[in-house]
Amino acid sequence: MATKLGFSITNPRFVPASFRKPIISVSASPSLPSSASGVQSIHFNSRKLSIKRRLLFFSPRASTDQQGQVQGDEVVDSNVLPYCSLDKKQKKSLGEMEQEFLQALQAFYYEGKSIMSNEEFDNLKEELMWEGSSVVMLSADEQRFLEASMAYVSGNPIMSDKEYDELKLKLKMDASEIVVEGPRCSLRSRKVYSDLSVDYLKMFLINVPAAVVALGLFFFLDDLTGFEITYLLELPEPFGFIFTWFAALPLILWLSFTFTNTIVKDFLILSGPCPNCGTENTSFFGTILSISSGGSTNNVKCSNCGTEMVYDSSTRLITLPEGSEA
Amino acid sequence: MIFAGVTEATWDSLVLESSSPVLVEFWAPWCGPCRMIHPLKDKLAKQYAGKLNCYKVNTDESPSIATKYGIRSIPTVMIFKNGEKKDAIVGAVPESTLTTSIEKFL
Ligand SMILES: [Zn+2]
Repeated sequence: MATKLGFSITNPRFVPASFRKPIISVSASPSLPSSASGVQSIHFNSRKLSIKRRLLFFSPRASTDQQGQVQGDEVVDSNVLPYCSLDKKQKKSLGEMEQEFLQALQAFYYEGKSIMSNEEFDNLKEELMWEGSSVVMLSADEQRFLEASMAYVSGNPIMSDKEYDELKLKLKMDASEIVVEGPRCSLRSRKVYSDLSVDYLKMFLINVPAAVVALGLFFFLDDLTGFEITYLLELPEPFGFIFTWFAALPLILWLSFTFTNTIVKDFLILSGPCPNCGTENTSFFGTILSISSGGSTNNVKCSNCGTEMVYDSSTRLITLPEGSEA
Repeated sequence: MIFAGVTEATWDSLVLESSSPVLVEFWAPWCGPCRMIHPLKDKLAKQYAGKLNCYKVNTDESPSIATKYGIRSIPTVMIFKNGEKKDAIVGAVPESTLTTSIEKFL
């Protein structure tokens, strides 16, 4: 019983995306061969210290290079950013570093060459982690998707449109944040699209009515029979309490989850923004008492502006019905 | 109007040769979701005045720019720096998504 209960609670459908994401990213974060990402993150703090030490070491050289006859404020400035003045480059913005990181990955995976040394790559990765960039925490699929998007724009696609769309749909199903796009119009077809995501809270709440009924029934029967259920095993007091809270209650919750699942099969609650006003609208997919709610598409009317929308659970997209204007 | 329009004729001088980062929004009059982010863009243009140049491209009037940058859906907001495309945000996204992307390149 205990294992069954554990299973139904850790059922992936009930785990919100925010819990799942870090698990994926830690295990699947790719890196160049020489750098084991796991080791790196453990030594993260000490490595950062070593960078600081390096900065101190470089600073005298940097200031003698640049100082010349300039005194005062200028000297202080070149001491503040000695690393950058050595490079004779401006400090890169976070976005530019992310782009460089992805380009290095792309060159390595798809062209089999390194555009920077392993040391440079590790430094860049460290810098990004230090800046709190999400790019180094992405899963392998997410990184591949970002690379593909960049390659597409630069005119050297690394995968076909079909592969690209499949990867995008897969990431959407995994509730990845990087593929989330707002309501938009296709330039070619002029159709309006909006993305759907799974509403985990509502999917959890759908189990509540059965649980409440079961719990109410349990306490009602318990009360009616003069607390005989709890005294059934004639347990001494602390054990009776433990029995109620750690065996009876989980069993009731598990039963009500199972009960709900027999009534509502393969259900999915999807929500997405209305393409006209941005209001979130939810829709239920699944079968209630073996009556299907209507296949993979639902017609939904926006609760705010009344726009008719079509929700498609297989593509996770909202479209507007044929012939209507956005 | 804070958001000046850009066409094929003025693209190079206004966007690619700009010394500060440039935000470009691709839009069309028939696109409903584009209207949703209009008030948002004006607010951002004011907020980042002096640091970021903001322009819009009408994809009906300048289709070749949209084709060149592989734009499939509108609204698309792109950020350019030193003549290079740095980021693209597709769809009518919340304000926070736009500001996060802008902050990355300032
Ligand atoms: Zn609406």
